[in-house]
This record gives sequence, structure tokens and C-alpha cells, in this order.
Amino acid sequence: MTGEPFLILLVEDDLAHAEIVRRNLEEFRVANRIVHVTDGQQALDYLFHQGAYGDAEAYPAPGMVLLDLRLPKVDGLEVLKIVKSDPDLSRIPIVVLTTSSAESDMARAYEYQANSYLVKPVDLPHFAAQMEAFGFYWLAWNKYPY
Amino acid sequence: MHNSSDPLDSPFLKEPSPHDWEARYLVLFNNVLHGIVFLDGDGVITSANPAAERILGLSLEQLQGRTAIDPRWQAIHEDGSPFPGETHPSSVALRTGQPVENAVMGIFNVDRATTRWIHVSAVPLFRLGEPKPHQVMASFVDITERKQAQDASREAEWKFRALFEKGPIGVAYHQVLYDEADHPCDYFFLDANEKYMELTGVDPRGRTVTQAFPGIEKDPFDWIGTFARVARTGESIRFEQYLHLNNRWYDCVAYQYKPDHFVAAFLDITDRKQIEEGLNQSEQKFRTLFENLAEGVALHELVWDDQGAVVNFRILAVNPAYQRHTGLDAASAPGRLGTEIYGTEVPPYLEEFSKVALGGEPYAFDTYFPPLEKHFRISVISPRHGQFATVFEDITERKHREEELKQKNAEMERFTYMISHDLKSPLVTVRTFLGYLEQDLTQGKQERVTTDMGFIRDATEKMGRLLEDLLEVSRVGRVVNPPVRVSLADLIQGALAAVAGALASQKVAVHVNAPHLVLVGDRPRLEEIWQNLLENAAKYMGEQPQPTIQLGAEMQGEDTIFFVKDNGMGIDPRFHAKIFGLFEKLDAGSEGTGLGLALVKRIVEFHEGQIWVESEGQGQGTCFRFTLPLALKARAAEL
Repeated sequence: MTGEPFLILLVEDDLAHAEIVRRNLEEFRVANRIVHVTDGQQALDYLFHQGAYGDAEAYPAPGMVLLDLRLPKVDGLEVLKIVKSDPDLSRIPIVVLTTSSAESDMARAYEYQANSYLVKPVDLPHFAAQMEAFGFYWLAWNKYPY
Repeated sequence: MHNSSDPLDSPFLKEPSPHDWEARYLVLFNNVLHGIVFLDGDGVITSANPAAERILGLSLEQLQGRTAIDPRWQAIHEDGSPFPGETHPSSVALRTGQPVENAVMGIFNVDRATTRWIHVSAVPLFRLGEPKPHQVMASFVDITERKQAQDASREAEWKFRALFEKGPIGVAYHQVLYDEADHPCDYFFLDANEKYMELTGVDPRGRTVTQAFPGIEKDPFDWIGTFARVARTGESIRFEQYLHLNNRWYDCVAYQYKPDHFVAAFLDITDRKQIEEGLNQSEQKFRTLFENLAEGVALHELVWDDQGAVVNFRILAVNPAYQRHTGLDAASAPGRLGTEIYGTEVPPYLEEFSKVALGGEPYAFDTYFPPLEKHFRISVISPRHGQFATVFEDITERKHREEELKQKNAEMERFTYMISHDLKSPLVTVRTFLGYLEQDLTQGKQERVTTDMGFIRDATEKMGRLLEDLLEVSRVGRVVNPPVRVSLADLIQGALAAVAGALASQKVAVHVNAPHLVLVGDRPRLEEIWQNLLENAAKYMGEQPQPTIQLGAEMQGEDTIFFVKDNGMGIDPRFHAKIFGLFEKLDAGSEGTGLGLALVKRIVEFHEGQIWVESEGQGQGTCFRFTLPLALKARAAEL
């Protein structure tokens, strides 16, 4: 990591789930650098600096995206497809975090170049363990070209 | 043999004189049909008459000087064995002094180069007082023609005898018997061949037919009368008839031999008849199948061009179901070409059909046939080289149902996927925050208890709403209340009353424009349409300072179009297609389950209607329009 603040763009329509993610990532000192949007359109607007997020200074590009699949307005898979086909944004790692364990979702997510696919566990100990592992891997060990 | 002055013209005019005798002898000698030859005591020919020259094929000069034993005669017996000269009648007569009569001899005729058959008699002639004949007169007649005819007839008789005795035909000769009233009542067997007895198992000779075949007079066919007619009229007949007595079929020929006598010949044709009968039955079975088959059946033959390439096919026959499946006239189809009847440039499926017709394996395929706008399942078989039969059915309806089912299945799949997701989400929330709650209590973080319990409460409420909405959706088309007549105004009033609270809290002004319309249907379901649309309108007013909703119906041509229009936040045209989907929400923060519009759409579609949304976009207001043909049609039918 460089001196640049490392931002996580959390795309999650369920406020409770967003809260769980936020609480679990607290110890990695990124909690205050989580940008939370609640639908697919907002996610695209943020990443492409359009609409309410037109100001590129105020809304800098995230270091990674945590993406739910079932989203209002624009579906998570659609967001994935659009972002990964953009030459500038495609290198941003996108980790899918969803309740869906449907094979079709996983297959399509990887087809659209998702970097990882995580299924939300249904209780706290597992959710916490998963977020801890996620934090160590993506936020501590993984290297980024920026 | 001397000259005579006697006029030969009238030899019988007067008493003959010794002189006359010689003249007459000469006439006779020269003109008789018998050949006459005189041989001397040594068996040497001394004279011969013209008939002898003719019969033997030799001139008088050639004959004179020949002996009876000359090998050049090449004489043979009737059985073909040599007839030695010493045994010739003339030789025998000379030697024995006895006349020999009527010997049959074959003599080689040099002139004709064939053997002539002759009947020879030889008479020895004596001089007074001498014991040995001094010459012999041989007379003979040519019997070649007669003998040939005899031989032929003997041969023929022999042949027919064999046929009669050993042939495959039963033959019997009969005499008809009459009762006192001169009605034929029986016939008598004068003769019958072996085959007759073999075929019938009865030797009828010397008996009458009613004796030989008791009960024949009761046979449905009048055997006695039929044959009696032949014997009386002389008209021959031929017929095929079943004889119940013997359980056999016969091919009979009968002809009159002489009055009241007839010959009947017959052949047992039971086997052939049974085969024919079998064929008839299978033909009948096939016919019945062809005529009554639910599938269309068409028989075709291939049509070739001059170069021997298959270019078309011609319909030979079609069954009645053909018309039902194709919609084409079955009666006029036979004889027409594939291109002609189906109105195509290239005969349909020519390649597939000709492959089968030219010896390929039968096969079946499903196809969409554009000229008739139908889906068909076609089986092709070839009954003989160059021909093919198609057995087919119109599966258009089935295809559509399959397609519908496929769509339903896809929707169902999506539905279960969404339910599993949308029910799992609150579950994740509840169980995770229960974990936090435990931590809160053990770690004494009292301030977080309220927050965490709030998340749990929200999640369970969401689950509750979801379950309720799911129940509503599942009711459409399944739980049906008895149809009632209800006016549009009443429906709208009912819906407004149900959402009065939401409308009041948003201070929404409502303008109803309801023409007098009566709908027939499931009232609670119909009311749900307006209720959901009104709730949505109230919910998404946004920052509108003067929230207004207009609703009612208007005519567009023949169609009645209902509408619910607001001046709220509007919907981005990009999302118009999405909003009617199951579990689709445009606003993450809203309390909705994403089932409201899906439910409305289902109810509308259940009434064979359509629903669509009109909105310019953000802040431009929204108008939902829909039709309900079934509810209005039911009313029309009722009136």
C-alpha cells in the first residue's frame, strides 16, 4: 500500500449487511475508508464519476470493490460486466459478496472477471471469520499496482 | 398290254368282249390309286403301274430289274426295325405260294427323300399245272397320311389320358337324373378320375351325388340345378364356389357331353382363396387404419427430370386427417406436385424425403413449416422404391404450450432463486446480529443493544412482508373469488380507502376520472391493482411539494385503458422494463419487497391485459396504464 488512502467501495442494498461488513473490517483500519452505495446505478456513477459523484477529487477511485449481486436498478452482475470491460477500471479487484450460492451466479461472476466470490455466512462467528480472512488477504497481503 | 381300237370313253355301254377285258384291265392298271407291281419267279420286278411309280418314288425303268430283296428299299416295320427283303410279302408269296395280306411296311421314297408307309398285299400267280408261282402281283396303298393322323391321335389320347388320370384336375362324367315333374333332382357318376377321388376323398363312381355327398342338396349353392342346366342347355360354365360340405373352395368348369350328360372338372383353390382372403383382410385393416388415423398420412412418388435428378414429388393419396392437420383440401390433393400444393419454389423437405424413398432408413423429425405457419412432426417411410409415405401431425399447439411451459419454468426457477435469496438475506441479518447481541450483553455494551435489536426487528418485519406478498402473488389465478359485477368507481373507492393512510400522510391530492364502466371478476384481486399502484405513487412522491394522483379510464379506439398517474419522482426510462420483475426494487431504502408491481402485472395478465409505464424520468412523474379485456368481455357477455 502506498500513502494514498485505500478505499473500499461497498455496494450493498441491505443496510444491516453493510453494517456487519463495516464492523468486521474495523480492525484493519479501513472502516472509515469504506464508501457505501446501495444500488448498482450508484456504484456505476461513483466509479465513472457521473451524476452525484461527478467530482473526481471528492470521490477518488477505490482500491477494491465489495459487490453484492442482488441490487436495485442495476444488477450486480451487470455492474461487474460494465466495470470489467472498461480499460481504466478493469484492474480494480472486485470481490463479490452475496447471499447467493447459485452456481449460475458464480459462473457468470467469474465469466465477467470477478476476482473473488464470497457467500455471506449465516451466523456471526462464520461471518466474522470470513471477513477476517478477507481482510488479511485483500487488505494486508495482496499487492496492488498503485 | 397291246393297243386297242376300243374306245375307252364308254367301257360299260355293251357286253364286254375278251378284247374289252384287256382294255379295261389296262384302264384299271393305269388309273387305280393302288400301286401294282409284277415280279417274276425270281422276285425281279417286271412291270409297275403309275401309282406304284408315284408311291415308291421310282420310274418304271428304275423299278424294272429290282428285286424284292434289294437293300435300297430300306424297308422297315412299324416299330422302326428293319424289314428284310426275304420277308417282304412278295418274297413270302413267291416262296410259299400263299397270298399275303395287309402288311404294313415303311419304304424309303427316293423322290421325296422320306419314308412312305404302305399297306402291301401279294398274290402269287400260277401257270396251269405248275406247283410254284411263276410270278407275283404286289399291290399296295400309301397310308402315310392316315398313319400319321392315327399316330398323332393315339399320342394325343395317351397324353390326355395321363392328364385325366394324373393331372391336378378332378374330372367326372355324369348323367342328370330328373324327378317325375321333370325337375333335376340328382346326378349319377358315370366316371371319375383318380384326382377327383383324391380331392374329395370319395369314390363316387356308380353312385349319385346325393349318395356320394350326402347333404349337397342343402348347400347354399345349387350344385345340382347348376350342372343340370349345363347338361340340358349345352352352355358351358366356369365358376368359383365354396362347398360347405367339404369346407373347400373349387374352381369348376362344366360342359355338356351329350344331352343330360355333363363333364365337370374342378381345381381345389382353397389355399389361394385363403391367401386372397388374408390379403383382403390385411388390406381392409390397412384401409381402416389409413382412414381413421388421427395423424395425417400422405403417399407420394418422386418426380425426376430428364437428367435423372429428383426434382419434385407428387401426392398419390392422402387420408381424411391430412386436411385437418394441413388445412389443405384432401380431395384435390392426389395428383398434385409438392411445389404446387404447398406453394413453394422448392418442394419442401425434398432431400430428406428422397433419401428415404431411394432406400434410406425411415426417420422422423420435428419442423416448422413456414408456408402453412405450423409446426409438424413428420415420420417418413418408403413403401416401395421411389415412393414415400409421410405420417405427420400438427404440433403447433403443443410447441406453443411447450414454449409457454418453458417460460413458466424459467419464471418458476427465477422465483425460487429470488425467494431463496430474499429470505436468506434477513436470515443472515437476524443470526449475525443475534451474535452481536450476545457480545453486547456479555461485554456490557448496552448502547449497541438497541441498534442491533433494531436490525433484527427490521429484518424480521421484512421477512413478514415478503411472506405476505408471496402469498398474494401465489393467489393470483389460484385462489379465485366468485366473479361479481362491480363498477369502476366502486373499485377505485375501495382501493383509495385501503391506502387512505399513506395518501393522507403524504398530503396527496387525488383526482378520479371514472367513466361509467362495469367490470366482472374477482373483486379483491382487481382492487389490488389500484391499491398497489396508489401505494407506489404515494411512496415515490419525492420532493414534490404538491403531490397529486390522477386515476380513471379513457377510450383509445375500441380499447378501454385504465391509468394511475402521479407527479412524483418518476422512473428513469432505463429501468422501465425492469420494474415489473419479481423482487425488483429500484430503491434500496424502501420498505417494499419488490413484489408489488409483479403482483399487479400478474393480475392484469390473468385478465388478458397489458400494463406499461410512462415516465420522462427523474422528477417527471409516473403514469401506469393497463387494460383488462377479460373483465370487460365477461361483462359484455353477461349483458
